[in-house]
Amino acid sequence: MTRPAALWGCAALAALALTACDDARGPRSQPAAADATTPPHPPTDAPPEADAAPPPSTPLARAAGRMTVEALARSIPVITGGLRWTEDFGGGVETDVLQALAPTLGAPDYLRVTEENLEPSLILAKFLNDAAQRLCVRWVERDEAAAAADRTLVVHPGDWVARDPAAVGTALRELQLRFFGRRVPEGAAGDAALEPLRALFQDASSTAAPGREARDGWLAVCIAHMTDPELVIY
Amino acid sequence: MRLAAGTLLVALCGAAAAHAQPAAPEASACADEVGVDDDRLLRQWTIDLWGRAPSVDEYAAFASLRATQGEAAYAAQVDAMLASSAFDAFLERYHADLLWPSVEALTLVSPTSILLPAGFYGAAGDATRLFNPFVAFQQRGELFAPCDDAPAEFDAAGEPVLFSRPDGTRREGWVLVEPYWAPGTQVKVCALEARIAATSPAGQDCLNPQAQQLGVCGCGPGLERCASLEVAQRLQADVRAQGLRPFLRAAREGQPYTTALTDAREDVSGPLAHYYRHLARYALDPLIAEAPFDLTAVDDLDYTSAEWRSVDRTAPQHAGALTSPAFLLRFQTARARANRFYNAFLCEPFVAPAEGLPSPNDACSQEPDLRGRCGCNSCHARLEPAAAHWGRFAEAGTLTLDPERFPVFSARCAQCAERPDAPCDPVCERFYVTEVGHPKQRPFAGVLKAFEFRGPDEVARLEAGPADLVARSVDDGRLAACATQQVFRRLMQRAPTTQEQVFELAEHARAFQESDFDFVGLVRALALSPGYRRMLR
Repeated sequence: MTRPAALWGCAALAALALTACDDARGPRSQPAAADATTPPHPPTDAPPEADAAPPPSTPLARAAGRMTVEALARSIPVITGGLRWTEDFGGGVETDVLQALAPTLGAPDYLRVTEENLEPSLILAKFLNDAAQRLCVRWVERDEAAAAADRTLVVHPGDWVARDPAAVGTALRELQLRFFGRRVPEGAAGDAALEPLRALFQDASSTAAPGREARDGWLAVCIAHMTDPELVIY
Repeated sequence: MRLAAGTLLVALCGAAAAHAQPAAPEASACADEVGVDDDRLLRQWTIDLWGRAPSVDEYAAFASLRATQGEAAYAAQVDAMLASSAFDAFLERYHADLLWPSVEALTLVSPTSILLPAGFYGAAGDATRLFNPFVAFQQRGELFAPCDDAPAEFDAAGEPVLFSRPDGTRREGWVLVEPYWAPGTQVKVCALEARIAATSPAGQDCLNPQAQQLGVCGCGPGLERCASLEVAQRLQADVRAQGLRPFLRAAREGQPYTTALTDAREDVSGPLAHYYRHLARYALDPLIAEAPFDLTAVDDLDYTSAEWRSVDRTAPQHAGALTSPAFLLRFQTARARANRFYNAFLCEPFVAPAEGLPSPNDACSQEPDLRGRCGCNSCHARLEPAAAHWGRFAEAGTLTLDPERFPVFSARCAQCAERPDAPCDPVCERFYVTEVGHPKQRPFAGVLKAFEFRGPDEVARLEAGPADLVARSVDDGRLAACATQQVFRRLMQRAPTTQEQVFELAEHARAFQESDFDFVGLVRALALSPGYRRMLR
């Protein structure tokens, strides 16, 4: 099993295990009855009387959710600066793969599927892995050829091929914000948080063919970001 | 099931993702809550309200707004997002999830009107020449037999010349026609299909579906009575979009949310105007037949027009999205329509009794009126009065059953019940009670099916249309309470607890109702609520 697949499997198991935590706030997937009339079968979890005293402080809070397939398809061009996952399966026609895969990934067609399945799933992880393999190669190629001001993958003031820690750290911080909305602070704490990604960049670039060091390093970093569950969890 | 705690979940799996991400922030016990920072908050808002992740520039702009406006930046940001056309993504998806606008399986364009490319069935020659299978079957002798790939020849009377083939079929050639869907271009169309006859050889008006079924009329000037596959797909897309537009219009025009469920208006695009003018009459099942508005209101709207025009529908029972073609065709019976309304807008699903239904052999299971049939009555006692509101709309269709053409009682149709072995008018069979299987049905022989077993209260509901059901739901507060719950579930990614319903959501519902159903305001209130900025872990 690949790392992303293992990670998604772990995510699924963790989510299942954490349903025990739901009890504190009641079930999250079933709509509570809100019948103002008197149905023949009143719900067993009928709300308490409206004039009851407010409960002790239990402020509202949001649960983490997964992006819909539609939102993912819209997000990828925003994150990559315009790239969509398209493939030419013959005939010179570019197919939007996420659109084609939407039913497989659980998007509703409102006939057979009326509610999108937003559980973490291995099939989404598998196709995100595919998307990463295809998109990141294109992104790296496009970014390397772009003017410095137009780069969206390797955003630092130096040359695209620069591999010094400062330049790499700057670009990684930008990617963390771009993908996950995470602003990694400057300084030791931020550097420590980025260390796994730095190591990944270093590993990939140090084993690359001569001349491909930066390209392979950023390719690995891109794939790591694209296959991170946090891309679709918010 | 929504994810219970994304951050903790990622932290738990951190070992697997050692290279993929920095260390996750603090993790602790179940049911903990953490505040989200400004960047995560913007990401939540953008994904929820605009249906996509934010760009780097948008993160920077929000950070700048926070620096200059402080706390006021939150409201300013949400207001800007709600005012943007990008918010349409939320309105569309949210209401699609409620109304299930699936029209892809529908045959909006009659088989007598569809033009298929010859290549579709492997015919030799130019694959793009268009033909109609009905004409092929009636005139050429085989269902999927297009014309030859050669220019057509015509006899002295101007009729296409057909040449017999060894396979027993007869084929003519093609002609070039400028189609209504692509002015300024020409397409190859089989000559029989390209005819512009106003009447059939037997003298039948070609606007009559029966004449069109004989395959002798042709598609008319500019192929107006036919549709290519691309046109058929465009019509489906527009019917789908049309069903959601009332909600966009209400939000953009600052109208109460309820307007989207009660408005007499319907938005019509150029393709839909053409459809109603030339194609709808041929759609036998689903039964569409005619526009629900005066067609002169869209006389100048060509197929290629990019405009959507709001027009008033004529039947008094029309009610916003609830009588749109997308809704009526997706939910083909009055019960299905009422059931969806109860689920989506009242949050009241109909659920069978826990003890199950009695045996079908039980005497009380023979009761023909579902309001009284044991077991069934647990839902149908409420569902039947609710379904009455759609009684003036054809089932499996969109046609309005206006009282002049569809009186409550038809003596002609009552005859069908009296003489079950005699042939019966299809209109009677489709719309009137023509079979009496139980003595209690006897008084309803020849009565419009929608009126069967209905008392005065339900007849009043039927004549008032779905807007009356909406009004009742407004009066008792159920519509406001449910809309609040639905938006809460969308933004908070979970169902509200019972306590939240009684306290926090009741407050939001009350404010929603007092704001005259300002739906954008409801979304704003929940997106800016302190709870939206706290994450369950």
